[in-house]
Amino acid sequence: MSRPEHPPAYRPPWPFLMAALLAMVALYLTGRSTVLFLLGPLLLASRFTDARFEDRTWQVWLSRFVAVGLIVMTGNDRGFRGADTFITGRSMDWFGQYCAMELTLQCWIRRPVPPVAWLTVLSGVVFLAASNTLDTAYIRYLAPIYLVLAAAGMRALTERDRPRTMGSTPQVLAFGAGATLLGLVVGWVGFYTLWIWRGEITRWSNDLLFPDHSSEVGLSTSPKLGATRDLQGPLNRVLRVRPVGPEARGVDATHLRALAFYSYKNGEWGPTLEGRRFPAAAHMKRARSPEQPGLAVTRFSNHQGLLPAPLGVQSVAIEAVAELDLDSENGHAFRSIPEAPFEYELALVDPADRRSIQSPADKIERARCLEVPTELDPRVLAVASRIGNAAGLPGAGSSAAGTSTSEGERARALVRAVEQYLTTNHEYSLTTDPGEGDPVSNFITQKKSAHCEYFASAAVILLRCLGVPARYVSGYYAHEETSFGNTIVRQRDAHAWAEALVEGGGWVTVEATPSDGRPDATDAALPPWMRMNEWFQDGIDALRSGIVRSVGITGAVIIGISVIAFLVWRDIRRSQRNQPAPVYAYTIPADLAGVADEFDALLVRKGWRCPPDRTWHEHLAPLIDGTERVAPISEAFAPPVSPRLQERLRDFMGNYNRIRFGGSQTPENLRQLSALLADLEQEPWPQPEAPAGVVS
Amino acid sequence: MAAAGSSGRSRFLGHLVFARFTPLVLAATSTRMGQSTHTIDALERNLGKVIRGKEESTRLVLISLLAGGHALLEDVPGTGKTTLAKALACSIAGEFRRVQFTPDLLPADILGSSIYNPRDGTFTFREGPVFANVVLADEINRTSPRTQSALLEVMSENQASIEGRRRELPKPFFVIATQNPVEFHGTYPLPEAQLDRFMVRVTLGYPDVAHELEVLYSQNDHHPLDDLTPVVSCDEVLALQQRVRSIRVEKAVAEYILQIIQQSRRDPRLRLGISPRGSLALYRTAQARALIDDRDFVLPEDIRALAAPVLAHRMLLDTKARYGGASAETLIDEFLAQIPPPR
Repeated sequence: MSRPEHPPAYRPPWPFLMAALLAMVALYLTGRSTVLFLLGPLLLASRFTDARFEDRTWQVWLSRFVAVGLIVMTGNDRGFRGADTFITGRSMDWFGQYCAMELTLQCWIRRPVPPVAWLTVLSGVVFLAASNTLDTAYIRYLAPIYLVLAAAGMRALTERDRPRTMGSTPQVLAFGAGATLLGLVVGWVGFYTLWIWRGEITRWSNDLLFPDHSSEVGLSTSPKLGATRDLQGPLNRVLRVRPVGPEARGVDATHLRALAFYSYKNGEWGPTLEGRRFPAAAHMKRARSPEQPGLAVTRFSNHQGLLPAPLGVQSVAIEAVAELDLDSENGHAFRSIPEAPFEYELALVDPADRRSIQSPADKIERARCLEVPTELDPRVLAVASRIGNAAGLPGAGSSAAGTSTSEGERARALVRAVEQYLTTNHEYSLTTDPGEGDPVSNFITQKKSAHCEYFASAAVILLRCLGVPARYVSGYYAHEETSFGNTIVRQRDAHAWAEALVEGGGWVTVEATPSDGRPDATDAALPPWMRMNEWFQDGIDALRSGIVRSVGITGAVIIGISVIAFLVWRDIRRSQRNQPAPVYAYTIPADLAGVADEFDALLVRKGWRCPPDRTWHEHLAPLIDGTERVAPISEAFAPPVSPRLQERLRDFMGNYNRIRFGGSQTPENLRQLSALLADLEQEPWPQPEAPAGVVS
Repeated sequence: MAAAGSSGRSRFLGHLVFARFTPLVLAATSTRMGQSTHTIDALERNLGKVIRGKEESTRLVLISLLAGGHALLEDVPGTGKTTLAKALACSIAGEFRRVQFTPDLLPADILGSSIYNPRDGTFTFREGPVFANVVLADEINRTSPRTQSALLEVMSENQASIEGRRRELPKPFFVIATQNPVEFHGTYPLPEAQLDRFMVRVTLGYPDVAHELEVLYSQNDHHPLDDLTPVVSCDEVLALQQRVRSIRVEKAVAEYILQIIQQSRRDPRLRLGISPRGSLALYRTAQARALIDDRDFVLPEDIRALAAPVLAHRMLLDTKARYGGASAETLIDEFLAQIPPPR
């Protein structure tokens, strides 16, 4: 008779899983601000589901303590001390991360049974990816932690199943309270450790993840011509640009400008962002009219509140931001820096109509744009006049000669000449050295090779020397088109160029960097994993906007809450109907417990370990009676037993049972029992043929 | 002597289900319990003369008698169900009646009815066959549920309400029913309420070759049943039943019973879990088993041995589980494997 084996039924934490999933979706739809209250109770509720307490390896608990502690510590929305670093103010994302981590861990620490377990794993991965769509930097720092935890969970998986008794409710509650307290302390310590070492962590992580990129180069808000070596920006996405409305004609959408600079001094461009004052009239937050061409831009990471946009923006429409200063000439910025990602829509005007929206450059501005730095090397002026002469258009000083050509055409021709001069006489290089004295003079006179900032600065200076008003612009060069009709702008696409004021045409872009030095030529191919990740992000994003369009945020939240309520209700009903068998701890009288433990240990020593699902007498039947009682250990197995052992075993079992179940517990009987136990230890026991206690 | 040998063997041999657990003979208790042992041994010997090689089944019937319940013998025809029932009846010096359950039987045929006496113009009550110490309900599933239901009150409360009057049944009162599970036509399955009232369900099964050989020779002159003489009086049976109730059940063992019962109520494969009457039956039969084994306390082994005969017929599997190959017995085996017994 073989005993059927009954593995415990696997019950994945479906309700928690689904609830967390919905909460995540709701979170995502609402722009992760208002459903914190949903996740809190959910997380709390998950503590009390049976799945939680099944595995209590220290690694799993430690991970939970740390996670809860971090969530509590960083729960403050404005961030710790109001600083804007990866460690602060991201409680929402932490919650999402935590859910994902927990879910994936859950299916590792419980024996995975396909296909349900793999679905659970998959959902954990989906969570991670969904959190990743927010594309915040710290996800990279979390990934190693997550991997370590997954490994710990896998280790727990390899442990043999052993029945564990949970103890009483007060014990569980006390344990929970202690765990929370410990979690706070650990979280606090962890938080401060990270806070103190945040610079090192950032550097270390960047070195680890982007070994090819020596330093992070972003958008320059205070350009300074300095020494560089192998300058390359990181790959993370900054903008996603999608054209909306009718096609825009004549708009240079590749040069997305962020800031314009006027004053040059010793290789530095100004005014700095902090030094600017936006005119009161620059507030241009207005919706685009449907018949107007425009660009919808998603800003993935916020940099100083800047809104990159091409030349010729009429207005900007933006949700969720109350205060905006828009100066279409100098750059665009928020008064308060909002949390990325967010989307803004730009209304564009045709270059032909551009004058209507551009304030005419007044005399003061014109003068600022013609200012030539005093420290400039005189040889630069000579170079400028050479360029002008070569083009048949002498410099500003001899403008009387140009009678046949209008002022505007002359400026255009000079711009082309300067562009051509710089692109043909200089080479592009990522490694450069400013040299002694004024960097621009150095660059122009020595025909050095350098990067775009030098080319842009040189173009501005040369144009000014030739009498064309010019300014320096920093922004992004948008060139990477995706299959969805979007254009992606990455950190590495940061670029600098010049703009010249052309009579009758307004400001025009001056691209003096050689074509082999522009981002579209220098950018290396994107690694495939990054492509996949972005593809996934865009998919989720499309889903999000689709849902929001069809049911609206309120509808989505209501549906989510209803589904959660339904799942919780169903789970409660099911748990009432099909409760798992509680592991019952029978109480053995204290005096007898010692003997029982000793006997158990004796059985193990003698190779007769007794499994928990049978009694000792059943297990030892081959020894006591020479007959099989429950399951044959092997066929026709009757170990040779000495009559002495048989008699002693029978005596011991009889006496033990009489004391344990017959209520005859006297000190005399207990003494006798201990003596019998000592005798059993002396006796030689036969070895079971098959390992005793192994039930097929 | 064959009978004595059979009784002695029953301690160690026999069918697996029952002989899993041999009694623990303890010097201290056997002197105290000597009288009971003597009576029970006599009963077992008597039954052993007639039913050969089926010690575990006869013991289950004895257990249900001592526990104050009723027994249901279920097996294919010709395995000795009726013989066993008659042998038990003959061994007790009490009144024995037999009811042959037929499709046209009416409740009044079982319980009794008032009959008009034209001589003095009065109604006199004539007791039905239930007014006896041992009632053999032969082929109980051949009568309609209407008549089967007449036994509900009788079996659970040892009384009959007839024509508005409550009539006490004699003591002890023991119903031993037989039924044949293989037939469909012309049978009515017992209702759940009725099944629940039987303390144990016993199957006999075919005897092995050696015992069947004995059976062949033993009936050469006459049926051994004719030789049986009563060995216990009704009072002795009542005394034994009283004694059973005094057997000690440790709290851990009682909790073990309830663990099994609770498990049956939780299991989604069961449409009907085990009733409190079922847990009481398991408790009481375990006590009776301890008494038969000459112990004054119940062991977890008792519970494990009795779980299937006492509980299986009370469980109602849902259709999916039934077609999935599960049976009440396999489910009980599962429960026993899942719940660790107290040590």
